[in-house]
Amino acid sequence: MIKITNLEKYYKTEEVKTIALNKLSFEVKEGEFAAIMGPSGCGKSTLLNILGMLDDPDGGSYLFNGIEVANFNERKRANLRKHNIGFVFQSFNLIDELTVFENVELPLIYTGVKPADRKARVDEVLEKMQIMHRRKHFPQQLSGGQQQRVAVARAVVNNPKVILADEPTGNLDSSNGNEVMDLLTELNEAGTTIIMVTHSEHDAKFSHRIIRMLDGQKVTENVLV
Amino acid sequence: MWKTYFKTAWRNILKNRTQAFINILGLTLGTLSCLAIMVYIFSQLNFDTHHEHADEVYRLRTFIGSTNGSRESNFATAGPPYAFAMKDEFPEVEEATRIVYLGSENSELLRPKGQKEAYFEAEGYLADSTIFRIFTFKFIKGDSKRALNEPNSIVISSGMAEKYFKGDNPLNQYLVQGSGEDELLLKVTGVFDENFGKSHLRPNYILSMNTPGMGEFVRNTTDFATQNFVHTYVKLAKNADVDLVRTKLPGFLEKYAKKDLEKWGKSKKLYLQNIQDINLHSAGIESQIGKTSDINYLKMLAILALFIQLVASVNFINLSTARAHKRAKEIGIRKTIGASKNTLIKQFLCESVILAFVAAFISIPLIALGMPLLGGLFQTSLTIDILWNWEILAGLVVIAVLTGLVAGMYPAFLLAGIKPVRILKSGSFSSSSGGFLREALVVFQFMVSIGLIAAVIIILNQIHHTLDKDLGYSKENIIAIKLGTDEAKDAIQQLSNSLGNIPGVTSAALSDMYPSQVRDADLAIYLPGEDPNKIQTMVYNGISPGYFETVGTKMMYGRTLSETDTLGIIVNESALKAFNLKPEKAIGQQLMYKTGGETDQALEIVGVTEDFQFTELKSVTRPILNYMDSRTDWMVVRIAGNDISQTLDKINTSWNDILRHKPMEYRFVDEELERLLSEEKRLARISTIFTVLAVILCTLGLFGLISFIAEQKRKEIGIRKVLGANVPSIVNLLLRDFVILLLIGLALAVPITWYQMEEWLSSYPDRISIQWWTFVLAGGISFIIMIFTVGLKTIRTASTNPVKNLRTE
Repeated sequence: MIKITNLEKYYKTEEVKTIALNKLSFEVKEGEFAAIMGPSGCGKSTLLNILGMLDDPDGGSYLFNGIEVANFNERKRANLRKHNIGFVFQSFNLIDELTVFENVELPLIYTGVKPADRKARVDEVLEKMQIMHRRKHFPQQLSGGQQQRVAVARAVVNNPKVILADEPTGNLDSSNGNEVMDLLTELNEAGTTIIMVTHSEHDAKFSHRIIRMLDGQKVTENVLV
Repeated sequence: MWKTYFKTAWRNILKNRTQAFINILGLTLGTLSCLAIMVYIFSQLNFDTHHEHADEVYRLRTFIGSTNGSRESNFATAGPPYAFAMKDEFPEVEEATRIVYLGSENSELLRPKGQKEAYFEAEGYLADSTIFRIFTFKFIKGDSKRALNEPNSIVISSGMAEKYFKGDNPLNQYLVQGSGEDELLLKVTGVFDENFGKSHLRPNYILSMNTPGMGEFVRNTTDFATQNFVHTYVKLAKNADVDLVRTKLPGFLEKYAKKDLEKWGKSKKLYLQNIQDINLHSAGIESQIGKTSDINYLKMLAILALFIQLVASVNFINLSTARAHKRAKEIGIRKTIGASKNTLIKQFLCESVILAFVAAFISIPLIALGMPLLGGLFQTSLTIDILWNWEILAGLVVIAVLTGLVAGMYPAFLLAGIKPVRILKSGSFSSSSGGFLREALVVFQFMVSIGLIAAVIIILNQIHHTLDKDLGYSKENIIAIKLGTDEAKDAIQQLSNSLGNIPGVTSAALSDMYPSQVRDADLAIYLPGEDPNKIQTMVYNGISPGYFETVGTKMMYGRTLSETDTLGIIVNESALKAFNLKPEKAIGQQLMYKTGGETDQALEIVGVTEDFQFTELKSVTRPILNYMDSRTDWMVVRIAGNDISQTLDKINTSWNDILRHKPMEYRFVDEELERLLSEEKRLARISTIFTVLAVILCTLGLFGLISFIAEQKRKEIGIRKVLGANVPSIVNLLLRDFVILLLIGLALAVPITWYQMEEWLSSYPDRISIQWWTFVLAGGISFIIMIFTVGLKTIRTASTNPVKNLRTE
């Protein structure tokens, strides 16, 4: 599904060049649940941004479903992203001006799904995430756990092949955190590939494999299952 | 997709109410100006298009110069014989008609037969019966084909029908024109709808040309050189080539007018102008029927409106880019979940277009409420109905869309170009993007404000200069009483005696023209013993003894006129200069006046006055000769400055005692002078209003921007204060940049405004020169407004407890 080889990313200022990813290589197979761990500044988020095609690498190869995407321009990346990748963020990143329903509906709008189909699909996902009763509420009217459930609903509404989760439980208490992890596990069991960046050993245990990073490089890789 | 755009846009507007309020207020003021000007421009378009033969009807214009080429004037009129000579000469000319404009000044006294109550009625025409074959008038009563066939026929407007006959059928009823021996019985043969179509012809009544009096004179005049007061219109055949007819006009003049022109020492050129062009393309043409507009004036107004709207759009751009960070998170999320740059650009443009439409919707009721004010401002009658024209509504939609796009374009590209990864990583976005553009736009706003303020100062100065200049007579407290009828002229002596007994009346005299009256009648004069073709044109005026004392013009040499002076004249200094005569030798000098007959008439200068401004305030002083006349059209009366209204009442009583049932028509000379500057005053009023609007908009924009900057710099201000900075030093820090921008704006405004105003002033022979202090004052006013706007907010921010600032940061 995802294969990166010798991936590099630098951040440059006039005087300093910081290496964020240093010839990083690994592969995530279809249907796999991988956790990426490491201390702050080790390059986890940079990696996730590149995997999510929000940013481009400075060197190396990135094969997504067998397609080399490292040199894609922004338009091509955006197109591939909206059909294949769903995102879950630590801070939920819901749009405050839109209701729960509208937030979840947004990816379907951008992929050109017809209104009637959109409604059916959003209702189905909201039902599944047990947030249907809050469909007309705005994000600021929900608890953190509910907001993250909405974010997960938004991530899966397009049936993406891959979900990229960046510290999905970082802003939640343990009970809400567990609920979100259960949701992600369910999605994975249904066939969605999941790559999750986390600081939490507890959350990482939900995955099949833990990739540990330091200074932009892979240090270890533990298979859990 | 669009539904989502609109929904998000609307919720964003509601969420950022202050910003939205400033934006909507600014865009509303801008749109309101555009709409107001659009309404006015629309009211001035499509004149004379309603006539059935509009494309084929032309006005014959005349350029008149003297053979020595000294002065050429451009008239809307021609001589009496031209119309039908053209019809005889050109196969292309199917119909011709002549209109004598009885004028807005020279109103006629009319009353229904058998009634005593009479009115002075202006806007009367004397016309050939063919007028209705050329122009389309909607007849409510009577038959346009036959209405003016008979002598003493009168066709009246629907308004006049109501005024004189109050609901009765006016057809075949009689009106009495004039009084005494001059009384003329006129039969009403038609009533036309005065509200049908927009035309440069707006008569209250039309008299048949074959009526005795002036009509008779016009019909009997065969001279092609003089009497250039007849408005002449021809209708060409459907497919006739007007350019071909134009090329044949010099030959036509050669054939018909050469002899007369040589005799009078004049030269003429003719031009055919389509009637649909008259309203907008008649600037500088003399002797027009009524008032016309000017395409350049409309263009200037449109440019002003454009500037105002641009200033409003600049506010939008500045506020949107300055607050871009507030939208950064939303943009990041949208891009992450699949929004393309184009989609986001559409979304942001949608927001700006929605705001522009909100502004447009608010403008409609505001303009409807302000319609009477607007009519007053533009000095034209405007009704709310004009708003419902599809052209106006379509124009408003275009304005809203264009404004939305212009204002929204840059912010949309800036916002949509934000990279999601930067936002999602840091959670914020630096608003320094667009900083240079923002500064450039603030400079633009300062430039427009300062330029407009300076322009208004210059316009007002020129108006004051013109009004306050030494006219060569004293304009205050002179009234001119109209002696329009024979009855009044017969009673001149009686009136003079009666007025002489009124304590408030200082002196009174007779004159054919009162000072400031616009009349362009002149004579061809040459020096005896010199070439009779070396003529100078001189304005002429009949006066009675005591005229110059009454108006306050100083005699330089010689004496005033006496009752026995039949050929003695008084000229002004300009006349001496024109003939190169030495003042000390002028008395007794003869001047030859071309009579057009076999022999010319010698006149003798008996006195010379200082120059005085006779007609238009804008023009330079022209040579004038004054001769003795005891039956003039006007009586000028100087009254004492105290208790003017009581003196006027007494004059009125004297008039009524002598001339019962004839209303006294009078005017104050100083008011007439101001009226002559009405165009300039209108320009000044409009410029002032737009300038105030532009300044309000700039102030709004500055307020929005400084609020944002102050908010952005809260942390910096807090730290500086903790480190010991005082309030003035922080105010200085925030203000410094704005002062620099204002100075750049000032530097740009000076040459542009200077150049534009030099152009404007060049039309004034007696003009002011632009002073440097004008710009210092304009810059100073802008500076003070800026200090108030920016300063107050800055002081408040600088005075806040630093702990609070740092904590909230």
